[in-house]
Amino acid sequence: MTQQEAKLPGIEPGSFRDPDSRVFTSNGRVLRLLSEQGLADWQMLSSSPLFAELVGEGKLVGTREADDLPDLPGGLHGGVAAVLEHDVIPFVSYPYEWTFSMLRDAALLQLELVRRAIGAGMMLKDSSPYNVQFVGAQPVFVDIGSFERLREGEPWVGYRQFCMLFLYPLLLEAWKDIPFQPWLRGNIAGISPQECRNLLSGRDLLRRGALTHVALHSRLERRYERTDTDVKKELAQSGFHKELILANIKRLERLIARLEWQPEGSEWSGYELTTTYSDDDAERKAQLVTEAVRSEKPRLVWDLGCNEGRHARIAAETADYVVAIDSDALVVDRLYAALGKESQGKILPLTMNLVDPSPGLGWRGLERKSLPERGSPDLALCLALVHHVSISGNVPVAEFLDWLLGLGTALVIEFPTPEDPMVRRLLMRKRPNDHPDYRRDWFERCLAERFDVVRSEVLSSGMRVLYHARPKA
Amino acid sequence: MIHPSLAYIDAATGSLLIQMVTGGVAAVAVVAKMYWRRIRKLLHIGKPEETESPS
Repeated sequence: MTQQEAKLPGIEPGSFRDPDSRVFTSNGRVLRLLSEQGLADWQMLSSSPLFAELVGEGKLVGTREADDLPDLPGGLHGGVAAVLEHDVIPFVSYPYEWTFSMLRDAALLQLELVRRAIGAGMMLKDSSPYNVQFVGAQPVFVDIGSFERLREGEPWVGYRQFCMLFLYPLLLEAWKDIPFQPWLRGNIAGISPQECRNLLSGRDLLRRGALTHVALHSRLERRYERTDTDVKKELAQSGFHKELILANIKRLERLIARLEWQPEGSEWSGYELTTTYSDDDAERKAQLVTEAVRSEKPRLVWDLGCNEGRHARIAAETADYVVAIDSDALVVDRLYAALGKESQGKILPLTMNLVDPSPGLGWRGLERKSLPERGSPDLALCLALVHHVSISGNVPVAEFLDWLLGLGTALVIEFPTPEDPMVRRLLMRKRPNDHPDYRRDWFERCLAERFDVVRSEVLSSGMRVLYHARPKA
Repeated sequence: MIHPSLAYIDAATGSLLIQMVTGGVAAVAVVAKMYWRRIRKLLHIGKPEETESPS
């Protein structure tokens, strides 16, 4: 069976886990099938004042019962009782593309929702960061199907998942300066209590929360691994009540709100300050980007190698939405903080190594989509990027341009010549002739074979050339 | 009454039990009651519905 055949038409392949709810898309609309049980939970949520409050605060995705229904796909065992329609998230992202502050804000949102849901007699049946999306720099909870009736006497079923996908990744980054992104990309279920325990030192166990949420949690999990005891029943009979969950939630909120990631510094975090650009060149570059964005009128822009987001902000003045990507998580974390303060809702900051962009992951490799599958750009900004991809990443210039061509996007691309100080520095680390293709004439030839160059401009230093190009028809 | 769980994710027994520790002071009475019930069950004392109550 091919991957395409594995898909049900329109069904989001990542939404199969919850038996009461399934998401599908139709003509740009995002719809959700509900089972009888899912409908009962939705009616409880939508009739509660909490629903309108959360949607009004931008914390829960706008949702309504759908009318004017398209043909419904299958995929929900037991039949469809209702269909909901969600506001569309401009660009889907995953936790392994978020920075520390983004995952922390998503975790705090998840905890807040559980706390407020309990107050309204409801509960969230899971705790997955994949249920949170970012609209610009604002986290939004998108899984309406996660809300269900609170069952008195039942513990927080999503606690373990919360630890594995939110808490432990944050602890590792805050306490050990271990980036969580490769761990979350490596295992869709996250970091287990035992794995987290193994990564912590004896001294780490003295930190707030480590003993209970990690050490004891891991110990109890091992001890009861093969038990047949119905612990849920036992807890209910012993008088377990929602106040215990609320106490846990409040402790976790305090713990997570205090976590900080303070790395030594990163490769590019001071780039905009230390760059060799003259003010005049920086201004000309900004001008060319402004003009290219105005002429392309793009719906979606990718700013690849966005650094502190200067050009992403220029693009956002015209484009519907900008995805700003950089491999330096610290730079992106700062950009996220700045965008949050600016209430900038049109730029989504993500961290990713462009030489190793997010692939399809999970069940059949379809559960989490690759980067281009989530929406190709109409315009890609590749400023001060090619030399890093080509020289540091060893991707031949022609292959990089092939990738961009495959996206079907127009470009604003900068080529720093081999004489540029940064390029010289990168080449110094390599053997002579390791990068015979890194030449301006070869770059221009490869570009012209794939794209129509609308405009090119040599910056005053003479060592950087900008091109505005469109894919050949 | 005990409601059947409809959770679709595996909560793991240890992750449920740890919530009696993370529950703080409010959990003390629950822990005491659970162990008291376990002791009674071990000694085969108490009413059958208390030790084997149907859900």
